[in-house]
Amino acid sequence: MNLQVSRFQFFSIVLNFIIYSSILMAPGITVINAKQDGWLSMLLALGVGLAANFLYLMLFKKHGYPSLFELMDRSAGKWIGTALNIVIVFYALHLTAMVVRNLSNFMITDVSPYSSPYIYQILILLVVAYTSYHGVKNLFLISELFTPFISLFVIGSLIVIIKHFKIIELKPFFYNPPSAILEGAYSTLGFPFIEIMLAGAFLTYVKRKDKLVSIALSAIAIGGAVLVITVILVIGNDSAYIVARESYPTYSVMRDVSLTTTFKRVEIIIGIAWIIGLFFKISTCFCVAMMGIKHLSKSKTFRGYIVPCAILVWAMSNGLHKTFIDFTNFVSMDWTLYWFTLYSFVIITMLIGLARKRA
Amino acid sequence: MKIYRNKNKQAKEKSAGKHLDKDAISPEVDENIETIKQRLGDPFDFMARSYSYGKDRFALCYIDGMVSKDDLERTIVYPLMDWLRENDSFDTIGDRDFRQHIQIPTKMKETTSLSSTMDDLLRGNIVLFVQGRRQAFIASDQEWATRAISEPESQTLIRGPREGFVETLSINATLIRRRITNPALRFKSFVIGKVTKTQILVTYIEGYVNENALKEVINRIESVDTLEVYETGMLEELMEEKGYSPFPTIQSTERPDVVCSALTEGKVSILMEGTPFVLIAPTTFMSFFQAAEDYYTRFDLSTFIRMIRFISFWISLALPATYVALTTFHQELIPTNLLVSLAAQREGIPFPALIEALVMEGVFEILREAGIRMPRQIGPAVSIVGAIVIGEAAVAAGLVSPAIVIVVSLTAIASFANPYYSISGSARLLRFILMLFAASAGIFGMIVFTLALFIHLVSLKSLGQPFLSPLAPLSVKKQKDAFFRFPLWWEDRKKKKKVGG
Amino acid sequence: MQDWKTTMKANKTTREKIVLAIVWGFSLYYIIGYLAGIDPFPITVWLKAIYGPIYHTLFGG
Repeated sequence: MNLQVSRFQFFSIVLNFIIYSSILMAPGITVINAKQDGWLSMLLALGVGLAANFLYLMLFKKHGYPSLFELMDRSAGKWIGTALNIVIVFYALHLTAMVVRNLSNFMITDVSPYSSPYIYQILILLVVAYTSYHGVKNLFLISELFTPFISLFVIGSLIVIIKHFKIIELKPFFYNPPSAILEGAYSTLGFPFIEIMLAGAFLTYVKRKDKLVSIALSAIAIGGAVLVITVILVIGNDSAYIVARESYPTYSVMRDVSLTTTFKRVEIIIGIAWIIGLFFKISTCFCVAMMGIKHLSKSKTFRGYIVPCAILVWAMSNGLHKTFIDFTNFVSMDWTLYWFTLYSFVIITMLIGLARKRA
Repeated sequence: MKIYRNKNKQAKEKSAGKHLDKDAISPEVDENIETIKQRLGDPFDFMARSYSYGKDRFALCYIDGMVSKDDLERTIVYPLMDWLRENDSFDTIGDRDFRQHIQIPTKMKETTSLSSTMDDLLRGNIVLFVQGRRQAFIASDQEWATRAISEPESQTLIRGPREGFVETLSINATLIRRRITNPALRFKSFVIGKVTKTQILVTYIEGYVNENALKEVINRIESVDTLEVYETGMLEELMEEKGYSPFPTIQSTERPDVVCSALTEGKVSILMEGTPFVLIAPTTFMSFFQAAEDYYTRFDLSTFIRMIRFISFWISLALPATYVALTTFHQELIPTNLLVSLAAQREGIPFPALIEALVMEGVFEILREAGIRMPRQIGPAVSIVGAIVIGEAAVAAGLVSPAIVIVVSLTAIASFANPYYSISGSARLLRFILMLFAASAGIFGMIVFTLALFIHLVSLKSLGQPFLSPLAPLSVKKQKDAFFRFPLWWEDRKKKKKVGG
Repeated sequence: MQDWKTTMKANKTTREKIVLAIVWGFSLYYIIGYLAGIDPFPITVWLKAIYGPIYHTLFGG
């Protein structure tokens, strides 16, 4: 296999995956249930997510970092393995479609209302198809290139919103019952902490595999920490009451910040970072799906599958949910369990594979 | 059957080599001259001078205007005549002695093939035939009218050497030689072009050069199949990676110091007869932003200037598009006061921002092209028309807003701030595409375009080396000469530290 | 290194052809269904039916 990825590249992909899908939505999703304790939910979700990923990665390590799809084949046998692989490919495509939908939702609700969502969906899918046409390596290189810049954007945005931060909005801590905090954590656990298991498909291509588990976990931890800080800052800025009413609270908070009279609108910074970050998430999922299909068809390249899959993703992103409300409800209620199912299946398969190996 | 025929052919060729007189040099001097004359079509500038002394004869052939005639007499004719006067005959000297008696300043070789003799003759060498000998002596004493070494016009600087390459290959090679007086400096000669038979030199430093890149360069040069090359730009296009790219993946320069610095970095350079532009490969995106002067001035200033170059590249690429995106899609991002004044300016202007920007950019491109092509005498006229008519009058007539004039002028100025013309050409083309993206989806479109641009850049290779290195793949070590120009003592100090403890 | 200006084009195996046909087929089926206004693959409905009850038993409401 001539695809080789450096550890920093892998780190950057995982980091982008964790941060960008959630940085605008997570405050809203957690706060709906946990009110001003939303950041505790996020922290809890991060803890559980880290534990879940630790288990997943350790199992990968035990197997000697094979490719995800090969591992399924090997552990569950040819037939069940193929079925599982098809399911993983579908999950990846489903996630791609959801993120594309999320992006276009954001564009038409917050950035330019009254515009057509299709242009955003089609443009982003064209770029995603373009990067996957150049291969997975290209995606990793471009992630490596952009990560420092968009990280700076995010850090800058977070620093900017400190200005209006009031700790009183967060108090009293643990005001809400534990069940509410748990519910908030539940919504944000699947998205993004369990979704990140898709990045496991790339593990086999990392050049130097020592400390790989800790690198992946630290990327998840750093990304999660950024999310926790974001939730804290956003609640502290806008109060839980308002945040729960916004679909993309981080963006709204940024909109209210004015640095000086000339730079009144700094929210575009986080908007740009978010769009670029989502590009990485979409491309990552898309590439995993492509790699899955490539594995299923045993071909040398997945170029032939890009166009039909991109069309499918576009149709799915519009067809899965009729309305934005439906989309948000589905994400906060069913999404985590849906992904947890896949997670459990994969973990069980990996355990079976280990047992078979021992025997 | 086929094999048999081939064998037959080979056999024929072999026998032909033995007996055929066509390519062999005749012992008769006049016969050789006649053959050459005939084969060249009796050209007006072919000179053949015969000298006899007793029964001994020799003849000099050359192309008029390509050799130094004074040297000819002094270094070949006089010594030979002297020698004849003393010894009466050529028969008593061997080949080695013969060569020693000709005081040619440059190299001399001998050949028995008439066609290679003719090739050398056409390159400006002197051919010496001696009665009774079946070989020709070829002395290279090329000298032709050439431009004097002057300051390069395309890459000027304030501090640094003023010498630029000229159109003569040997002078260019000397310019490099003078800067790298290292025995490991290598020049490999190739001939390209079925019709033009242009000589090129592949230059590198043995031991420093990136072996893969060198192999790739030679491989590509050998597989170039073309009738003609007149400029390294043509060779560049023939050698580049497959697939379309608006970006040049081979660098070209007129400055010997730039070439030398590239050579010490392990790159390969290609010199060609007839052009002052020398190719450097493999190159990176970053090296198009590094001027030679960066290393001759203080590092802090150089770093600052390099930043300015990156910013101006981005301005020249994206400023009109940003204007279009902001005024059509994201008015809320413009500060209110500015927005009010912009809106007041655009009031009564019949075109949407995109058309306005496209027209003005188009006009500027016409002006630029006219500025290069026009005869020097009418230069002032074009600038007057450009500045007054296109700028002030268009605004006064209400065709375009003053803001777009500022945007276009800033874009134009920024596009000249690049040390390499070829890379600003890419920005020039992509600017229009980016404007279309900005007009269709605002800033989102611009982001998408930027992503696509970098996906393309990341996928580009220059002779198999990643084009966007050291950014992607990231190399922290090489960052000291990418965005920043770290002081030259930086590395030494680090090394010393390592040695010290 | 040799083929820096030529591309290799391998022929597709039967397996590849089958997978390609399935991918194109599903994609076209879905998009035609979507454009015709019916939900051709109501995965959302199914998932809600499966996970909705679990969610409600976990968190109530």
